[in-house]
Amino acid sequence: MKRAILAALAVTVLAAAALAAVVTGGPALSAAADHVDAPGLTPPGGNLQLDITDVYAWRARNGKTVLAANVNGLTAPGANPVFASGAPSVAKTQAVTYWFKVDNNGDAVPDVNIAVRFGKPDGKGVQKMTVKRNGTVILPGVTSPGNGVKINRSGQVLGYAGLRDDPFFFDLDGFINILSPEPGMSFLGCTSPRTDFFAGKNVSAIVLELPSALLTRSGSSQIGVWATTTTGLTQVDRMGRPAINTVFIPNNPLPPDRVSDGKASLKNAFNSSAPRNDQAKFRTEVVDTLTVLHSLNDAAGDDPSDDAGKISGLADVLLPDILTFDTAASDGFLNGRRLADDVIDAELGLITEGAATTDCVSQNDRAFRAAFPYLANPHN
Amino acid sequence: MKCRLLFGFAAVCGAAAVVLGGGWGSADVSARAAGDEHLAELVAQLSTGSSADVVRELEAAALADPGDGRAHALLGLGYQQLFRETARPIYLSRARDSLDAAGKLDERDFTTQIGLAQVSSTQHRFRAAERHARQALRLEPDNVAALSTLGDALLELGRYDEAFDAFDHAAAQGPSVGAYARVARARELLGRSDGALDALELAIEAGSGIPEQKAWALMRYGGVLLGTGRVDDAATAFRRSLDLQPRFPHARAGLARVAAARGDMGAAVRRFEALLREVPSAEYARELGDLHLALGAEREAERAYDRARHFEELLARNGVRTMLASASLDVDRGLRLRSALERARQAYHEAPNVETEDLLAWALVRNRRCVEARAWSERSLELGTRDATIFFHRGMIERCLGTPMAARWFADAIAIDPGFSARWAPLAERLARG
Repeated sequence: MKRAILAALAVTVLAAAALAAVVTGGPALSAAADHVDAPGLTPPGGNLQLDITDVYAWRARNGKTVLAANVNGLTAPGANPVFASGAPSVAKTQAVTYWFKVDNNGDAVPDVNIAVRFGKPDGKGVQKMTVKRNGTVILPGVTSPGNGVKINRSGQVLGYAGLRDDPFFFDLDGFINILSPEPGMSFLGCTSPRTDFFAGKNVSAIVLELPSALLTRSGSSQIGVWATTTTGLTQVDRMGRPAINTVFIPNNPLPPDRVSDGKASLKNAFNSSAPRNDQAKFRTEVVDTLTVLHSLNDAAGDDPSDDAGKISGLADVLLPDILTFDTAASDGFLNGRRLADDVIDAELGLITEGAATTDCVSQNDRAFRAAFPYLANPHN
Repeated sequence: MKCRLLFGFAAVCGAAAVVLGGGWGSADVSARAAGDEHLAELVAQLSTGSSADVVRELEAAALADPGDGRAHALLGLGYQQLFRETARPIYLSRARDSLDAAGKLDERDFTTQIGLAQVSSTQHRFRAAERHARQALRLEPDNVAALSTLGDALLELGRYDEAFDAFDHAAAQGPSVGAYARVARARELLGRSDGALDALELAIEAGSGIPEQKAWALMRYGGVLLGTGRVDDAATAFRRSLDLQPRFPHARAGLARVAAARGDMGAAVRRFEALLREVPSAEYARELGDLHLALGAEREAERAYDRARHFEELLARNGVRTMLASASLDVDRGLRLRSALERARQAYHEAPNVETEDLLAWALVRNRRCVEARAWSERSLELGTRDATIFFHRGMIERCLGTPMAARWFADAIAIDPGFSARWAPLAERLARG
């Protein structure tokens, strides 16, 4: 679902939430009290606990690798979301697992599977957590609700799971209004003060720090990382690089009149599929999207004759959706992703062929911690 | 150029984002965008409990352009929200009218179809609800709201396997508070109350980041606990719900029921009376009547029942099928029993489910037609539902038939929930002792 709030325009998502709330009932009173009058779903019809907002991988100063994945996006200050411990169907409840998938031989198939599971929260919101590597427990621990930071340690492995400031920064409003002629609406040209849409918001973060050798294969420091969430054997979400599904995969191939055409959501299909199939399944969509984006500068005199070649090259980079990372290198995005990396600026120029190069928001609203778990304290 | 949804770049194509599933024309993107701002505002208003201002704007928009189907659809959703907030039945009619108008202008609009499905469901027109939900699903396969609404309608129509499939599909597509609560309801019907509680615990987790959702899930959790006799735990759940949403009527009603279950009928009466000053709920009025009756205050009980009937009539005048409620009230009270039996039959034909099968059984036994009653009772228990009221009715049927099984059914009803009804639980307890 990738940054669900970005996924289909913020307005779209809010409207979808409104619809869901209106359609499936609300917390307010219904006279039809004999029905299951459930509250609506949050965007886009899913559980934010399972919606991965961002994935990070970087080399810590001590040489180990840090992996981080966030869920419960756009959590308001004061709210204390927890991690999912299970997902029920009528017949049975299935386990929920948060995964870091690591490919270390370049075939887009995971060689190291790191599974994180949580128990039900106790009265204080604390959940037991278990981290397994390829089926073997490497770290038992507990979550840190509220502002607390409980660092779980086992040998060289550190683990944290709990509420943190959302480290992502982006002027979403400016992006939505990027083509607006009204002064101050778009971020283009940085002519007005810009706002980080994610400032003041929290996420639930899973952060692991572990020896790179637990991830790499002998003789190579290169890995590819992505995160998934699963209920039982069903994959609910996945993410590698920022905003791939969000930007490049349409909800469905929409006809020009915007009337729903009965086709299932491609975004859902993307979320439930595996990176090794990305080129076969989604290259057309990515190329189509890049074609639109590369046309933005045509009016300004860009020669479109070389667009096809650039687009093809970019599609080779963007898919499969894996965060490629040299564990021996401290560089940031596109080598892995560090918390402070301005990934939006890095991607904007590439995908728009220079039509937009920055959202004018270059850092997070809170300073990151120098030490594990690195993400900043949550907003209260 | 292929038109596609790009975040922020929708305007490139002229025809903008899908937002609610369709209906956007390229000529009036800005006007339609304004409509979606209204929806966004509705979201913001969900917590504050007043969408009236937004709805006034939506009314003006629909009036300004009677040919704009989308404006009518949004207004219909707005009225539905007002109904939820105020329980005033007039908003149901208005929602229906606006959505019908939208449907006539564009029957392929997803928002309209899902709105019609929901308002049909609220009006207890479950076959229409199923039809509209299926139409919505044809427009947007796998849509969680449409799947959930379809499952709700199928559940009411007694097509349980299909309903459970729809719930499972919804839970898989959109694991969420709403989906998990529906799974919990299915498990309850299957007689697996611990399984229902497990699903609701997961719903509480799923809603943990959003106070309104968590409050709702806690209220449902309290309801299952109370229905299985775990009164103290239920009270805790209702209080936790109210901590998050202090005026939440369903949770306040839960505390009233807790008071009754603890034998504090006076407190229960006060709580329901306070609620009824704010909310025109037939359900609460009827429960208040039962409490008064249990206290021997027959005149007050009569007034409360009259009030319940008045609220039901208001609902009926606004399109709600109220056969079940009106028959149930009369059967319970022993009034107009032949007509009530006829209404129970109609309720069953409209929604042939566990609840109406039980109502029919109860109406038949009150009409002294005990053999037929038993057959309907058996049907109502086929899923394995363990509901104290149904068990009590079965006990009355066995008693009517003069079988030795009666005491066992009464005892089981009390074992499931000793406080299942202020009116009937004391009788069940007495009869259980033989």
